[in-house]
Amino acid sequence: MRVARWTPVLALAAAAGLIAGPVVAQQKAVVAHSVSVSADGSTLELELTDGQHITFEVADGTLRINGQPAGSFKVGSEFESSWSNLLSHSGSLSSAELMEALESWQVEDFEELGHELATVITASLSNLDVVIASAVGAAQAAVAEVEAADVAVAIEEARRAQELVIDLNRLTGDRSVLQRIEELRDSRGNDLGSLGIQVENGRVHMGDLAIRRGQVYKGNLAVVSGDVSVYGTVDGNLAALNGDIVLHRGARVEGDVVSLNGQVTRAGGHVAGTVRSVSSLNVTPRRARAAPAARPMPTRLQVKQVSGFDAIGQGIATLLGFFVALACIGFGMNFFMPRQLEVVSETVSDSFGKSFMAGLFAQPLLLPLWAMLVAGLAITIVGIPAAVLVALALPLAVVGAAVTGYLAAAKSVGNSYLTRRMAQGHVVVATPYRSMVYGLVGLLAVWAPAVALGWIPLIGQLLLTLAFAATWVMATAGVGAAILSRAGLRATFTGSRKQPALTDEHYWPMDASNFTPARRGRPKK
Amino acid sequence: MIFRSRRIAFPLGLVLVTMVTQTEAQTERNYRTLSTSRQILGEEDVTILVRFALGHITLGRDQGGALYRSQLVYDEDLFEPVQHYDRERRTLEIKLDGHDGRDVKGRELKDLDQRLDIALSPSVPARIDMEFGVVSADLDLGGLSLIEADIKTGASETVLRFSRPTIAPCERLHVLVGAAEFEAEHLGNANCQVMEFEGAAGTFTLDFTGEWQHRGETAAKVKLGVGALTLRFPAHLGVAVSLNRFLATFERSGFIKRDDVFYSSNYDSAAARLHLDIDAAFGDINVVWVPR
Repeated sequence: MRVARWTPVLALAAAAGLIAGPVVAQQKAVVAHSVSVSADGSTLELELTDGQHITFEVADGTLRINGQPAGSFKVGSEFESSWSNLLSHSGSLSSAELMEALESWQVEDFEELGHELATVITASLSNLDVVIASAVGAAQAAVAEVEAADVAVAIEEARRAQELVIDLNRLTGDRSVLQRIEELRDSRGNDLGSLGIQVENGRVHMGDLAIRRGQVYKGNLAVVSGDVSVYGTVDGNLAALNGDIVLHRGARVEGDVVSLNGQVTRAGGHVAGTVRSVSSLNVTPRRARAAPAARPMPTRLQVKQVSGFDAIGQGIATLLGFFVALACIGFGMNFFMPRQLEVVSETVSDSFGKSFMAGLFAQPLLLPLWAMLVAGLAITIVGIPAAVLVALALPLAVVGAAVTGYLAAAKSVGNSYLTRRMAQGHVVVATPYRSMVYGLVGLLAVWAPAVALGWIPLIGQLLLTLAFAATWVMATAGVGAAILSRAGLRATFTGSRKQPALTDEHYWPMDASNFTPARRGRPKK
Repeated sequence: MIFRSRRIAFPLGLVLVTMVTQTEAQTERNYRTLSTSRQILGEEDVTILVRFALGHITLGRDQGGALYRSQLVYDEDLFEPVQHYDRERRTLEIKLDGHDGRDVKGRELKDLDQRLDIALSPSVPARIDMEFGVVSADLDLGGLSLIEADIKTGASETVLRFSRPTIAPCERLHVLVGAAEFEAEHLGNANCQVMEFEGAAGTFTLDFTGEWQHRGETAAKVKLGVGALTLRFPAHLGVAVSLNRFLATFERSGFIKRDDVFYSSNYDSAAARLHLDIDAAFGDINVVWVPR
């Protein structure tokens, strides 16, 4: 049996020293740590005083330092279980205590490891040079990648040397637009007008913009040649070029706020980053261009203008759509619940005033009823599912009642019309479906003037209001009739209880000599 | 008023959907434990942001000199943790998201046993902003240097306690509770200038006992939708209650009514006074006087 002792602190210092040099590395300390343990593997992340992170990941038979393989081990070996056990018990430790625990960590019995893997692991653990060498290679590769990236950045920056670039991800700090402006000012003064401008990594808005309360802009936002008033939230950086920024009470900007050639006024609100403004510039947005991924916000110019004819066409289409939809629902109701629909319809017809008043009084009670039911059920956790069902079902039931009532009212209107036609001696087959169609045509006809003339200011609004009022009256009467007739189950308010002398046939006297009975189906030959 | 916060409505809806739709048991889970600790590096204050939808959560004070310690146990197949400390803004953010923004389905949450434990340094003033969904929470803010606390809970069983006086006066304590059982203990140790409690439905207990080191008048507001509210006052505390109720009863024993305000008999002479503004719709408001 062998006893191996690994001092990860030294490995850590070595790994950290790859970047900053061994002397500096020895002066660094661990200020924070994060331990992640599961059945699949475990990870230890250390944060140093300078903000660098060193990650040791043990999973899938591999030890990785900062993501680079630094050694291998047998899955399920003593090393793995010992490492996991150590980290599992480090949850309550401070960083200093954890480092002490790591220093005193001992792994016993490497005999169970396979020879080849054991050699690697043993070498890694007992000879830090191996760990260091492995990490050196990884770090060198990483450094090389960083250097290559820096070169690419330098080339790109050189290409843009003659342009003022507004990178919305980098408004302040190093390589920021503000820093660039200062550099250009030093060399060219305030006249930056001949320089092109690119806007990257964000949305662009031309002209004035108001971000309403409750409105949230995801990402960065640039406003060019306009003032921006913020009442809502910008979930990123906010920049204005040739315009002022006003932050109102309740406004939130999760990044920096920069006004180029303008002022930033804070009347309240919260800015997570810094607020800066640069004035007295002469900048012209000669070539404003958003990054390909950015979605330009709609401007006023992009708002589709709708002509009067288009509006009429759209209105007719909408009206026809409503007619078809309501007719389908009405046919279904006629088919599946003809008796109930008939009773509600007759209640509307025979007791319109009472139906309307019942519907009228029911409407203001709906919201308190809904609130009381939901709140009453939600008192207990057990009742919460029922509360949710009621919360969803009751509004649907109200809409359903309104549609049903409206259809019942339509059927009533259709019935009245057909009965009148019959009384006048016309041959009419008064089926429930025909009554429904005639009634819907009659009720929806009140929208025709609004559709035809709705595009005319004032008159259109007046007609729309009248149509809406007429529809509301009929729907209210229908709902009231549904209430009075208990959803068509009680015929108390219908003509069924009237004396025969008061039935429809006596409202419109018939000319019997002119009457030809209607036939259903084909006549027998 | 009841569901005015979407942040509360979402987790509340989540648990309801969970309760309704769960059809089959999730037999095997892969839990991962994520532990973090950070030393104090001269921070003058710290902000703690916690978003935790499901599980059990505790919060207390750390006695080991760390800025904070946390331990999060979560189902790694379903969730992805965000545990990030921003040095510049001195802000710790802890939350659990679905993998790649995926919505976790209700049936996947059956028998889920997640846990989050947080311990904060008592010596660094803290702003605490927590939102819970369906959790049982045990939060002890006693002994902390509290600047401000904003706690929102959904359908939860929450105990908020101040087991000992806070170290520094806090500016504001705000608690928003959905459908829940909520109990606040020893609020007299909170040393908060303003306390606000809002509850939609459930059972609420506000215990104002404690040392009341904050002399003078403290303002507290209670908004309650539907439920039972129990108020526990220490006998030495001067209490004034302004009541705006719809169908709520109020236990007025121990109070004298003057100009629509209920005053305790010792209100004018008490060293520490509490002005309680209650806005209740349905339910009972009970008062318990606790002898010193």
